[in-house]
Amino acid sequence: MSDETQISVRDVSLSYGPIVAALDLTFDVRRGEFVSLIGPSGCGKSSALRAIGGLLSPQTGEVHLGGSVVRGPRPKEISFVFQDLALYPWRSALRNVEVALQFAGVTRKERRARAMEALHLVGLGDVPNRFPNQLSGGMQQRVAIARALVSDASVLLLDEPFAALDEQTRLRLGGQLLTLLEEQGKTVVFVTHSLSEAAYLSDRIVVMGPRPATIKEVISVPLPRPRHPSMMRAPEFHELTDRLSSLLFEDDRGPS
Amino acid sequence: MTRWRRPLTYLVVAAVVLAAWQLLTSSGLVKPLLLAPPDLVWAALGHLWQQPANILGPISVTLRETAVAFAAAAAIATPIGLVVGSSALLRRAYEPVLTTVSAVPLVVLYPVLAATLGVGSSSKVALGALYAFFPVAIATTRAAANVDNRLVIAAEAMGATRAQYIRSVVLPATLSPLVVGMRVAMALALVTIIAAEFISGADGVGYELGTASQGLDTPSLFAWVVIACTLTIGVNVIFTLTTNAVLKGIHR
Repeated sequence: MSDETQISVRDVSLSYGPIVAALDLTFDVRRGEFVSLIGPSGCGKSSALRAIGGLLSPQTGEVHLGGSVVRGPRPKEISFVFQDLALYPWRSALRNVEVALQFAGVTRKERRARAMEALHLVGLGDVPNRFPNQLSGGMQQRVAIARALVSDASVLLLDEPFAALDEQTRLRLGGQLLTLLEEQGKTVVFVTHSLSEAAYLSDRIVVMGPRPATIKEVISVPLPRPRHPSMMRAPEFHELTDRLSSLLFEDDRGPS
Repeated sequence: MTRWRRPLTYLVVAAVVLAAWQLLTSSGLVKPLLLAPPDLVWAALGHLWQQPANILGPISVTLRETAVAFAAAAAIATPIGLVVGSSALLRRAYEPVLTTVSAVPLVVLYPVLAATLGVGSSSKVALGALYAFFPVAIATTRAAANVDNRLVIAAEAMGATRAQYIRSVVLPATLSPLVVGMRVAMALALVTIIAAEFISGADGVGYELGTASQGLDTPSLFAWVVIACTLTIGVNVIFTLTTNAVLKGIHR
């Protein structure tokens, strides 16, 4: 990770019609950094991610990426993995990965080779011709990750990508993803509702409050890199998850 | 044994219908001028078949007209439906227009078409195409509008241009409903063209039906009814086999 700021979210407020999803979000993400957004469900963390990716225009404020304002999708620099994956059911795993390059105008031969490489990277080199409905949930997840990696975008935005998986698969996949992203030096913004996932994977964690969400705190994760599953047993890890959970649940202590 | 049960039910029902038909006519309950007995219809078919061109000629005329009408309608209606359906504004504006106009009995336009295009083949093809246009356009519009929104957002995030989006997302996602629309369109084109030939034709299956009916040649009339039914069933079967093969190819 370098000290250079790659993504800068400045006073961003988001709304859907009359519903305000988030207020005055301000935070930076450095190049190569892994930042998680956590908060209660419906707090606008997915909306914030979409705003960073140019899929949602902020009501006020701006998102800067590499020095220029984001005004729409920037597929060369940003790729997404969506919560619901959005794999094309009529395309094989390989062709689902290829589609990102196809939209970018890469020739058929080159995109096939690069897509195959990306599938190998996520451990699916042996099943390129299976269709999404012939793959398990975890494998579909890997296809979606391969599709996000294949474009060589430096920023990866992940919207609860492991939400549909069981806890074990989720931590295993998360760990593998982390290793992969560390190797590739990607900048990652990761939306999750799992505290242990956020603590294990992130450099910093942005904690958001309930809707309309504001940022309550930005916490640096005190664990060294590369991460190892044994760190989940370290006292720092538990202190961190305790702190996150008290931050998230303090609003619940209203009059009962 | 069990695999023969279903065909057996068809055979039994067909035999009962034929027997009832024969009984109605030979008992004198229905005049043979109104309902030709099956044996005479069979004989008329046999007579026609002595010169196979008597049957195959009109069939090929009708089929050719249907094919041209259907192809023209599908080629025009599919892109229109894709574009209209994938834009919220165009869909709000034009989907009601499409459904309303499709409810108009377009056959009222036939005199106009005949006057401008002549009473020959082209006016019949035009009417058939007109009828085939709407089922395809409406089915495509609806299907394109109902593309899974998640796939749409993913394509947007990956930077798809509008053309790429229509070609790679909307079209594959709409193929199945599109095929249903095309099946209806194909049947409508065939029916319309047979009807147009019947009204003012010089050739084709509809013309033969009309000639036999005006000549009070009931056995021939029924023979042509049988031929027309066989033709529509055949067209449907071929359509199903072709589209299944094409869908398999595209979805690979």
